[in-house]
Amino acid sequence: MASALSAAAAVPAARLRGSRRATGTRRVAAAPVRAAASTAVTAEPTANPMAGVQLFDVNGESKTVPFWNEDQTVVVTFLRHFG
Amino acid sequence: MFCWEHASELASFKTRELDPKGVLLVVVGVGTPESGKTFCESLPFPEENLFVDPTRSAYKALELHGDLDGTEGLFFDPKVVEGVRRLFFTKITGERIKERGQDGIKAAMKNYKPLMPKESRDSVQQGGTVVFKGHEVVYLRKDEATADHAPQEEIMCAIA
Repeated sequence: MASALSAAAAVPAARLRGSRRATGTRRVAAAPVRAAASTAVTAEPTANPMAGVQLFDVNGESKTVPFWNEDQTVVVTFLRHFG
Repeated sequence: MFCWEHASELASFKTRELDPKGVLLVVVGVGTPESGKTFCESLPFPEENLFVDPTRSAYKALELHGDLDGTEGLFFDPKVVEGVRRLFFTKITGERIKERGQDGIKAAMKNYKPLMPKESRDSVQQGGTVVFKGHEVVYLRKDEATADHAPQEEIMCAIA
């Protein structure tokens, strides 16, 4: 998963050029898998780097991040820890 | 304690900017479900938006800074030095505190309880922000150091 993310194009978003310098910013596009010319392979999107990651709610129950609706935008922020 | 300030800002950002646009907010923290519950009750922060990652598996998947796995040597291991540097000794931390002022952290600290992870290496882990549109990652920012977070204006550009 991580390697798929690393391999993806990292292009700073032009819209952000006027913003404060953000050294860690990346804009990552899902790239189709290129098939060899003689092989008929359906293009696939880059795997979601968080697919398969197990997270929990505050009661200890497994909880799934709602990425899977194609129309849904989700902002995921990672805190360092809880204090 | 900067995490408390950050989560408080995110709760306000959610209400003000994300909810009206139908954008979901997910906040992930390292720790136990119990510490997550205490965090939500004390700050306060909406429990439904908080996810707990006891093993830092999501942080590892995204290759966020400060991932120590316990195989490192003692203090002079380069990964440990780098992690501790990001934790305490970069000018970025001071710059961000200066930019934001002290009002936010003072407000967030009213009910502060120390909820550090049990494993000290988990405390070295830095955070970040990802914006997903469906399966696609349209924005990924790895926090450089303690108190460094994705600017809200960048997140707004990403979700536009």
